[in-house]
Amino acid sequence: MVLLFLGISFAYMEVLSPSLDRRIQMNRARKIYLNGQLSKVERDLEKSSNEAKLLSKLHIKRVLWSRKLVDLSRVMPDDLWLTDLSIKTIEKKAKASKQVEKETYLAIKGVTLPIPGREPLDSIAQLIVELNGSKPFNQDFEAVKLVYTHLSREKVRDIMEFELSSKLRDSSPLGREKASR
Amino acid sequence: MIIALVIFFIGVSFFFYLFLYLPKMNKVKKERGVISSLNGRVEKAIREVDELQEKIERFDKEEVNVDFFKRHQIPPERRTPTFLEKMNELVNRLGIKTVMVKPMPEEESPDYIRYPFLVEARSKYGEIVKFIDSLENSFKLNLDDLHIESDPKDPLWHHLKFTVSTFELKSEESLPSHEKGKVKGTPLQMVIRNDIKVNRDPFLEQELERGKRVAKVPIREIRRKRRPVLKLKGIIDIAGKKVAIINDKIVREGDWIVQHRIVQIGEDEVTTVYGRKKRTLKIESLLKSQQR
Repeated sequence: MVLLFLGISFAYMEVLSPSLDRRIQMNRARKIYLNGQLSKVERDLEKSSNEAKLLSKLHIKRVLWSRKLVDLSRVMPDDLWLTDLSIKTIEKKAKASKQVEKETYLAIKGVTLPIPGREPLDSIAQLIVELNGSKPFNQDFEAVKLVYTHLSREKVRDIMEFELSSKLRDSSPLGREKASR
Repeated sequence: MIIALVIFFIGVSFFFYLFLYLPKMNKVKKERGVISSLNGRVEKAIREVDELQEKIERFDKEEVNVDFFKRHQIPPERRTPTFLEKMNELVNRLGIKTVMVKPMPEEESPDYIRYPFLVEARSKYGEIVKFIDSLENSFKLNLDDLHIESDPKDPLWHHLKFTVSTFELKSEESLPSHEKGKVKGTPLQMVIRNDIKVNRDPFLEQELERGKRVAKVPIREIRRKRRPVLKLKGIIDIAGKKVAIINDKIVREGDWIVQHRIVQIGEDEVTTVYGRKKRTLKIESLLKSQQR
């Protein structure tokens, strides 16, 4: 019985226990390595995340104008011309909080001539439709709205002055990609 | 005896299994669980880093223009002179009249410094588009507060005003991924795209663009309105010579009345010359009866 006990003890001590200890040690080493890797990757993640957030912020702020100006010359009706194109930033107080929010608008002022057989409002409506359908414009700006029209007399002819306005989108670049598709 | 030995063997084996092997095995299993969870976390974090890097690269492709000065290795003391030199070169090549280039106060945020320059210029529309395209796509700068205004005194030349700026990131490590590891800055190349064509100048009345001062239809109306009013009341034959009563005045052939020369007096009409154009006046009562 003693021999049997010693035999079983020996088998355990020499065969099973070292194998288990090795596995435990390997696992510990792997755990330490993985913990190191994890903290390194998490640092990378934080850095990349900050970089992506900053680039995203700057990207949202950026409006490319050259393509818009080329497209503007394409969509302009013949009997209409612009007098002023500008970007206006309006500060608005949010209803829920007392924070002041900035909203950026594109303001387009122009003039059209009443031509026999064509109402001046038709040309303005055509311009609004064309601008809303223009990809370079609606990537960055919301639907164009009419602010006013005013019929006046310039020297010897009647002219109709108008102003259009469109709010700068505050969506993310991914949102813009979806909108452009 | 044999039965006792078997029972003893089983008892001892069970003892070893229960009190020595099983706790160690449980420890191994637990560690394995922790390792697989760590593996999962590392893999997930790596995937997230990869996704963010892809996003950052996509931003680069879409030209989020940061680090203009760093990219071109322009030291802080050379930033404003270099910008002014390049701006001057660009406006000269495009034939743009620069009104003003003014460095504005730097704007500092925790992550970046913004260097804005206020630019005012006068130019034709086509050149404005090329100018803006070069700043956006060749210099890779950001344009804000754009304002284009037509000049009624000189309809072909428009007044242009905008703020051009660059964002310099504060951390060197947060340079766009394609710039990382570069020792030398990329050369500052200016490209003016001559293939940019504009259909028409949207700030110019199309009739003016075609070389006419005002639109066709209104000018006729204007000339008709401007033409002096002549009312032929009647024609009288006095001793074989005809005289006409126009605007209550008696006129003969060769006479002048409100810038019109009377060239011929007929039976029921008078021919006049106004400038270089002939104009025929009909007796008013006849006109009325014809209209009826």
